Amino acid sequence: MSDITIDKPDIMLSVRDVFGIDSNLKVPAFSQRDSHVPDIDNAYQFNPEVTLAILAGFFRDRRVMVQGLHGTGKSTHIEQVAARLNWPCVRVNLDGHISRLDLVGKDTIVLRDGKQITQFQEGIVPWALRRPTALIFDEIDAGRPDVMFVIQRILERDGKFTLLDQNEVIEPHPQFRLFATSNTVGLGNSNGLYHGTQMVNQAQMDRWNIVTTLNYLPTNDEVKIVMARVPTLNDEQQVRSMIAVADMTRSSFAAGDISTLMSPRTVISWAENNEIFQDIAVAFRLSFLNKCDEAERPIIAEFFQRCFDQELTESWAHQAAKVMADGQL
Amino acid sequence: MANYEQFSDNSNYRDLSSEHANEQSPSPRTDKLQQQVEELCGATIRAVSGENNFRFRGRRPEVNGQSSGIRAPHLQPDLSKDDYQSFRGAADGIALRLQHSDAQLHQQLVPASAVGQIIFELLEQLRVESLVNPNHPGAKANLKHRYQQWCNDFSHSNMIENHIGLLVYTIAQVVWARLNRHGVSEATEDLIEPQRMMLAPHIGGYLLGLRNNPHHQQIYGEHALGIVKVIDEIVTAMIDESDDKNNDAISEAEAAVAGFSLILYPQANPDGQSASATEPSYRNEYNKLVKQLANYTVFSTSNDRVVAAEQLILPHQSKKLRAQQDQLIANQGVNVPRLARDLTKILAAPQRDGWQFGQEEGYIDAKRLTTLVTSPDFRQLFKTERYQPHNDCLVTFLIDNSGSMKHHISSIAMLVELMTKALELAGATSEILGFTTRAWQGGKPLKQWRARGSLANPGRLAELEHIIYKDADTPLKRARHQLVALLKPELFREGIDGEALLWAASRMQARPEPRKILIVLSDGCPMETATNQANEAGYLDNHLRQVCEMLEARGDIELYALGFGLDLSNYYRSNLALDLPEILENGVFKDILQLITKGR
Repeated sequence: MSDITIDKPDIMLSVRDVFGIDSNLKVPAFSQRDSHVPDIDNAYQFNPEVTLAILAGFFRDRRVMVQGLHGTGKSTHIEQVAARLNWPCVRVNLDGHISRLDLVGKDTIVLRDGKQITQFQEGIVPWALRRPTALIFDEIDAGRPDVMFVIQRILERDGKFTLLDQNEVIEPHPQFRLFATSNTVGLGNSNGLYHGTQMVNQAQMDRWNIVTTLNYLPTNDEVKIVMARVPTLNDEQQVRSMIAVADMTRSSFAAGDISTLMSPRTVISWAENNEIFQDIAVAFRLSFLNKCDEAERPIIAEFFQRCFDQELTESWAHQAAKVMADGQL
Repeated sequence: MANYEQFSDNSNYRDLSSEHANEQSPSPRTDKLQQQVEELCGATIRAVSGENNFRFRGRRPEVNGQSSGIRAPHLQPDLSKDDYQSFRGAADGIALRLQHSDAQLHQQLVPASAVGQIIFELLEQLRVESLVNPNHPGAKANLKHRYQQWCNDFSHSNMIENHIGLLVYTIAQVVWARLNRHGVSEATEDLIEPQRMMLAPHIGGYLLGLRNNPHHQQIYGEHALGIVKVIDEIVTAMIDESDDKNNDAISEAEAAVAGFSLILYPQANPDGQSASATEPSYRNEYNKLVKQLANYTVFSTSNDRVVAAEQLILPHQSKKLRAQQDQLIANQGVNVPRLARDLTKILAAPQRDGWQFGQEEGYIDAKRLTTLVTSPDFRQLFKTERYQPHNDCLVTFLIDNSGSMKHHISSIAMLVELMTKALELAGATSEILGFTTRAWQGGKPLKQWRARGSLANPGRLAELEHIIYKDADTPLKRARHQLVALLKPELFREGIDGEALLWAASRMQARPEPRKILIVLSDGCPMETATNQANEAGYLDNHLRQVCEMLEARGDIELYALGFGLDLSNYYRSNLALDLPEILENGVFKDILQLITKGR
């Protein structure tokens, strides 16, 4: 882990220039890039509301949680903001097996001068606390609530962190920032989409200063993103039809007819697979249809027919031709 | 099958209700087909329009449990003669209508005359269809296909002989061509040319107005009303002209309306529009239903009884039928353990059950402390609470024992027995109930009613018989011999579904299981001759519908219906048309499980 050379933001950036948002805000940023600063993705489309929320997290030291359905680019959004501010960033993916020891640190046995000694090795939280770093907890609702109490204190501004094992109190670096992303709003897996998520303790939920929602984007933005991410794609009508299918799966999911939905990420991989296979139907099957329950595939084939005027092999129309008036005429 | 022959020996039980059921549904196959098509079309409509509460009920589109008010003639394709793309087109039409048309505004604008209503409805539908999303080329093709198919049917029917019918048709063609900027087909052009020539000077301005305002329902509607006015005048003139002759024109107008009305939804209720206007909360809905239910009266309950199945069958009969049924079940290709596993997946909820050892954190496991001493690096000395899936769930099967069910009962008995077996393996509780009447056509209450002077609206007149084949506390093993009472043909009389449902629901409410599922197996609507004759039409039907809606609104019991040869969507929200094969396959059970998964 390299150390960071400059300690505090030394330049001011205009939000209008950097993020294309209609605002006169200026935000502090670092002039030099560090190895922990994420790479800039020039195609990234910033959602104004979420961007402002994240920026508030950076320059006003707020604790920001970004909630939204999968594949909407929550973590990427934070990373891309950090990338443009040259703010070092560390992403931690939480899961049910992350324990207190992983976050805080543990005694390990090391060899020094040919002798075995125990030495305390800091976990990610104390490490990040001492540096001008943005710590991102991805999928915070996957972390076990009892373990997540570890971060309870640092969620408060100026909250000091006590390392019990070392008898040490860590004062957070003034440029330390904390972000989190989650699929649920901390109320558990209520719609059946997100297995393995936990109920977040409400006392902890309460400590997040800003909770912003990033759900699916307006069609035009999504078209731009897909076209930017897959540069070889030049048929905009086709992209619009692809997004029309995705939109139908989303509202159908909301109506409870199907149990899977297409995220922007799925649309992008569909577009990429279309480049490989040069067949929109095959690419659709490989990128989305095969992830769906078999019983739901005919419904999705209906959506595909609506948007492409083309039949998938899964379509019920093939069966209809045998049993309905079509075939008998 | 042997059993069928055995049952048909009792031909004195040939009854009304089976005929009734047959006349409503041509064959179970078509029903199943209809259901499949409606499921796919319904899903598409919900996805496109975003109207989550849309569904088909008895083939009519409904929003929020109320008629959607969509009545355009080309939106109801017929399974027996139309192809699948027509159904798709109709579905897309309905979706666009829900999306782009304000039902309330439409209702305000609708003209008074019958011919006018048809034209106005058609024009509004054509307007929304022209607004199809350009990113949905397939939907566009479907709509065009459906419309042309309808035109084709129309031009081959005798409606073209009818002047007024042709007039309406001409308007539809001209407007469609203008809105979509398509030409009409050559054959149609020849057909409508004279009408078009005659109408052109009168409606030209309105047509332009229609074409320029497809996005403004109000303005478009006003232009449409202009056209309606022109047509109304022509119709009146025709009637006046022929006044001295034998009222030709009037009958022609009536025929035209009837010709279109035939393909209108038969019972579409013009007042039932306000799906979006007054959206009652579920609670209000429930209270309203409870009030409605209170209007249902019973003439006399003194002859009703609830009876355990063992009282209905003699030991030697039961032994014989049991042997027969065992033989049949042995011949089935059903994998009961697998079914049980699948049921577990659907019904289970996690529950604390014992400990999980060898964890890296959790409670300290005293048994492993010695290990810690001997090898300090070893960290797996904790235990955590273990959660296991548990089926704390009650599934009640309510079997319709009305006369027509005799044809299916052997398969149904097997189906229910296998399901019960699997449920028991999966750890869920199950109950098997049945309902019929104790006598034919009213029995004692009817005689009492007559003796008291046959007052109007006496309410339900029959003697109910509610049968418990297996209650929740009896394991299947002990209930095996009672269960075969189901196969006794003498039992099957008439059926009053609504009250039976309430009875089953009240039994279920008394049980401690947190999840309750009620599966009704039926092949028809409620049928009791005496009650039907003595009360207004649809008395029992309405009651059943209200009971279902009430249970669905209340939500503590999940209600599912399996229909044999009849589309039950009229009554039940979650229903499945089952086509029972002679040998039960896993597929049948898969369908049922899917129904339960979806209904959650």
